Amino acid sequence: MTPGPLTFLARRYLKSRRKHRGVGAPLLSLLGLAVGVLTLNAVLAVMNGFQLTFIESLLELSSSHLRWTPSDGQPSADQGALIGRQAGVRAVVPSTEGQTLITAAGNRRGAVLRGFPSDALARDKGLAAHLALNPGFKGARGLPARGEVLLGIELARGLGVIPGDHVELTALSGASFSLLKPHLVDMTVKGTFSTGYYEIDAGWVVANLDDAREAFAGPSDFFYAVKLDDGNADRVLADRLAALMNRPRAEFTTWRDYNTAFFGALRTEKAVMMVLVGLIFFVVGVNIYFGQKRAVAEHREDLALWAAVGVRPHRLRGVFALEGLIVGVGAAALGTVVGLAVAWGFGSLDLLSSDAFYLPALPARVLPHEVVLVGLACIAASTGAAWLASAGVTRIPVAEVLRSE
Amino acid sequence: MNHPIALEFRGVSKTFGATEEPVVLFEGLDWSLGTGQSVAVVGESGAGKTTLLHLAATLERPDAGEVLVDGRPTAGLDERELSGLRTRSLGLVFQFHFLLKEFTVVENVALPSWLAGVSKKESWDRARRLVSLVGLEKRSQHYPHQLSGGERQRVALARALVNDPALLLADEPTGNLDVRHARAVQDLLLGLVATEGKTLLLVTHDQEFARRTGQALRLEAGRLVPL
Repeated sequence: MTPGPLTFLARRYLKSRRKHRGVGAPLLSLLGLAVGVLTLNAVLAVMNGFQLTFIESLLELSSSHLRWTPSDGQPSADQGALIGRQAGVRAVVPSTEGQTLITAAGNRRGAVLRGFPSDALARDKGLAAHLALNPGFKGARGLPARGEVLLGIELARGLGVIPGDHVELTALSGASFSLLKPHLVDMTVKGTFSTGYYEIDAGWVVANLDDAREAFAGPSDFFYAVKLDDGNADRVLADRLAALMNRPRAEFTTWRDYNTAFFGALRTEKAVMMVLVGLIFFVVGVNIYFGQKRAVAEHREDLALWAAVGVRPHRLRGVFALEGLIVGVGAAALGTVVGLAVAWGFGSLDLLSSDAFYLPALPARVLPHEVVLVGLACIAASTGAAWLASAGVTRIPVAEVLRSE
Repeated sequence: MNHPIALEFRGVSKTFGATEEPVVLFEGLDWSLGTGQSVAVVGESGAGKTTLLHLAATLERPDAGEVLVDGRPTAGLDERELSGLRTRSLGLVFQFHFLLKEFTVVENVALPSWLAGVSKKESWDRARRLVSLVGLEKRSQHYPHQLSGGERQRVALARALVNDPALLLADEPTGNLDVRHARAVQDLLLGLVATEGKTLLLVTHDQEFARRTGQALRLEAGRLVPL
């Protein structure tokens, strides 16, 4: 396609500026914006890596997307199956969550006791993917049968136990707080697990669901953990299930309910980081603004002439805005390519010592919509600054300029 | 012989300067120029010759009265309509050529046409014909800094003609030229009136040039009187 007259003018003016003044100012603007795009992409990839790894671990291991807590505390295979048949439901696993005191070889630790049925890993692939089972006693793998527990790898280390050892778990029984009585339950350590999340590895005991319900969990500790294909459909599905099962909506809680503060903090952290790094766009935009104002001033006579021969000044603004667009697109392309390469480098290189940081590698996750957003912000800052600067084109006193010669 | 009116001033008033010491250039000026005629206006510096031309070119607006181009009042036209009028009907030549230094001769001539919406090919064809008309076909790929003063002014004249305007407005077109180059530009302008039927309003200090036009007027105290 043949470029129009405005593009023709813009390209010739740019070429002329390059020839007479060098490429200094536009190149500096381009590089400044590219650094901003690079930094934002790299920083956001690492932040996403940390946050999403963290969030996914929490959702898959601990909170799940949706919990149904029957008010009577009793499992219902029919209702569980009904939930599992709903569109968008990936897995349904009956579970308990309570607390216990675990003792072994004179060491004591407080721990969260999770009860799962022995086939939970087969039912819930997300749980299986995040709960890595280490080789257990005599090579045994899998979730514990009755009388067995799995310990988080750090918890086992802290207690000084290995698979095959016995541990004592403190359970409480009694109808009310004043009548509570502790008693000890002896369990065999079937094995250990790792999640990559220290709080879980150092604080979780996994027991068989039946043991957990009998000895460690009250009625309100029992729930169905529901995993969804789309985690954001949690509230819609909770409403639908409550209506379908004719249960109070209050029995259904979603991951947003119990993680609101934490996820809100993560979002705020990310937003603040974007604003801070985005200030680069503002600074370079100011530079482009003044550069283009000077260009308009330098071409006052040309612009007055164009107005005199009948070219509308508003059309001529495009000539000067085009340079901003060219700089913005160039910077977005350069910054994105280098930024993604840096993010890939973070994700693939062994930059952190796993001994010190409890991380096998620096996590980096690129979200395409964020890359597009950063690129568009860069182009908008550059083009917008040039467009604002070109406002002077419409204010040139044509007769005065033509008369002054 | 009666000519249709190409340009008309009806009761035009124009005052310049600060409010404490205003300079009245025109007060109720009534004057018209017939199609195909050539008129030269001479006058002392500051008499208002350039302002008269700018009013005709719609680059300035009168304080009172109205200017009509091709019988059409210009007072009520908005910026878009004025731009269209200038593109279609008016060709301007200035004392200083105002050529674009970044563009070649043929590009300088062609661009107003291309910007007015004519295709690039047609604009370049027109430009080449006009460059040839002003005798610069061998200089068409040169830049303004590679031309003499007279050549630059001839390029400016070709540019003024590219949209085939009926009315040519020339402000001291030979003011910066030596005698030989001035004569060449004069011949070109007057030839266009004779052969192409253009209407010419010329502002000049050169009384000899003024007398070569169909009618020479002097601008005195805001009035146009025969020279």
